[in-house]
Amino acid sequence: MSEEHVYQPEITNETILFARNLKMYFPVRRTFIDVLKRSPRLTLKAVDGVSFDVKYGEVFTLAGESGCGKTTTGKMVIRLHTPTEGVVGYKLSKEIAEELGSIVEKAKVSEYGHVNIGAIPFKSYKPVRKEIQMIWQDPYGSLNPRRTIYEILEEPLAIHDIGVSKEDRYDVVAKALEAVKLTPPEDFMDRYPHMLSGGQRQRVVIARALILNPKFLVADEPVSMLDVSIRAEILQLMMELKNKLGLTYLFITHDLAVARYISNRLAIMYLGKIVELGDARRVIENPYHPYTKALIEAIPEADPARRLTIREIPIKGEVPSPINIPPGCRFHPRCVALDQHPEIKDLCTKKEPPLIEVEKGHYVACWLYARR
Amino acid sequence: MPEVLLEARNLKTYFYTAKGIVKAVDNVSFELYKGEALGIAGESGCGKSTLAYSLMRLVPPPGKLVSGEIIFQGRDITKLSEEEFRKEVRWKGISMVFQGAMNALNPVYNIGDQLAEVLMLHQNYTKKEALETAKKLLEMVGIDPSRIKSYPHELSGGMKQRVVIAMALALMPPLVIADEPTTALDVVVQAQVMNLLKRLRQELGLSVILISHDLSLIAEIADKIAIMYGGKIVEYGSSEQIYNNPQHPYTKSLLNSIPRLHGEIRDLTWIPGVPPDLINPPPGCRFEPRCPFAHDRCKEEPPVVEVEPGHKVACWLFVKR
Repeated sequence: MSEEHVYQPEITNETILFARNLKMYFPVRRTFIDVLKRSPRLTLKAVDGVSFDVKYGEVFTLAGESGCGKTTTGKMVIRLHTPTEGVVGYKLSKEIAEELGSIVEKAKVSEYGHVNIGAIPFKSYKPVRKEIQMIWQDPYGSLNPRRTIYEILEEPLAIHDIGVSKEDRYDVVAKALEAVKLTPPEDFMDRYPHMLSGGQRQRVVIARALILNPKFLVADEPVSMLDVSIRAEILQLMMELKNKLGLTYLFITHDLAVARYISNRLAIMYLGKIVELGDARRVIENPYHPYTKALIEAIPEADPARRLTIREIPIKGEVPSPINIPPGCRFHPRCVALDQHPEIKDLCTKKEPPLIEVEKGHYVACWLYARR
Repeated sequence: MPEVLLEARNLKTYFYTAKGIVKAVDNVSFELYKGEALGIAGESGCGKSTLAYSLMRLVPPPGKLVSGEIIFQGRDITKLSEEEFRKEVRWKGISMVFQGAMNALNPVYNIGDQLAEVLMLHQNYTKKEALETAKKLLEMVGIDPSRIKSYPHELSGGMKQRVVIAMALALMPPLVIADEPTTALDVVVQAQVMNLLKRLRQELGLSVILISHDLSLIAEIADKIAIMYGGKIVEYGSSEQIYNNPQHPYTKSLLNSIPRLHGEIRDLTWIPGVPPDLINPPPGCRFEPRCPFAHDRCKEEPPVVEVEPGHKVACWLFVKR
């Protein structure tokens, strides 16, 4: 075996965004009694050292169970959270870079002009929001029920001073509604969110994210609240818009079947870390990490033969709390492979495995594959 | 010939709202044999949950079971008085795992007390006996009985779901209705819960009605499947018939819209349009406005055609001219 290759985010001219060793720790609130007892301060490690890179025009997916830190990572990318540690490097478009002026130089983190999003001061951050937008999970909760669709879509334009006159804005809103196929747009502008179906609401959420002409979209479980029968429609729309407008997606999902359909590359997260990363189809069809294997085994399939057997899911116990992350490999208390390979037990319980390349572009963090 | 456990005949459940009558369940009939698992699938708003509530006689007002018969263990339970129904059928005969069961537990009682309450009320157990039985129930669903004093917030989502299943099994009813029992659970936990249901079926000879919008989840357990659309069953058949040989255009599009984990990636299709308004449903076939094969005759109510033994479809395409 040649030299072992540990994953590093690839930073080139093609890279629109990268994360390097991102960490997000939240202090756990102490009660008055805790303070009196001088019990130690605890931290919740939601994201604990995540690195990845996203190329222009790509769909990069973060997948994992609830509590694995995938949404927190997404929120750091749009800077709803400022990372505790680590860098989100993003390549700003020329106009935005000019608008920011000298700040860009100070925040620069690569020779290709990526800026560290977390290093831009909050008071000058506003222009960046035009570039990076988010599609939220819950189309029922993310639209203000007391505003009409027009008001919802106009608000970002008002905030970012786009379109001087009312007519200008009206046109922009109408175009945005047309883009997400809510036609004719006049029919929808005066409606309230409760008058729309779930699928139509999610289109409004997408229209709102796109109205500022962003380049990069974080889509957090955009279809998980929708019926299976209309998921495909929203996914198809998102892919069409991506191709038409030259967008790049960071897609966050727990559903690997959806991930397989739309993503180019896929990263599986567990308790705040990436455990496997690679081409989406390769990861799903040929998983290496014991956790990925269990996850894939657990997904139901529309096959009537399934009912006749009880499926063994190769995983033990339950997800531990991110406040007390197990030492060594954080998956080891649930790992079935560990029982079959006692020779690596020592390593697994003591030392964190590196994310190493097992095939071209396919990385796994597991002592079964790493050089010991 | 296996014994029929439950038979629903021409069930109609309507909601009398200020805007008009919502025909949530409109003339639904099906049979469930002993030990069988029936999956009821459909989009949200197709009436599948209302159907379940109708069987339990728990339709919330302004809803009402307007007509129809529910023959359970040989007698029509719609004719029973509320008192008789509560004493003899609800929970003892048919119990239910509710949707969003994770929030169905009372946060201020520990799970032991909540389980024991069922037994004390229905079986006149003393508290001590009831807690003993509660421990056994917890063990049966794979929870360490020493957790009996735990409060719901101390348990994970999957464990809460197991407690709710244990509660449904407390009186050992022959039929359990599970309404979206795994929404809001992670896939690994979901698979564990489904495994539990399968195991309980084998061990206790339980009959199950599983309600879900997700046909891949239903495939995990159901022997028979009913596809509902707009308050009606549009296709009914065995699991093999529905998955391997779907006939109704709605069932076909529903199956084609599921992203698959294995095999070739082909373009996903979806069903254009929105589900019908059940106050003013389209005349005739309710799927007609969204159906790619709609023609003149679809303006009339389609008859139910048996395309192969036990496989029924309500669609004009299968009526010989």
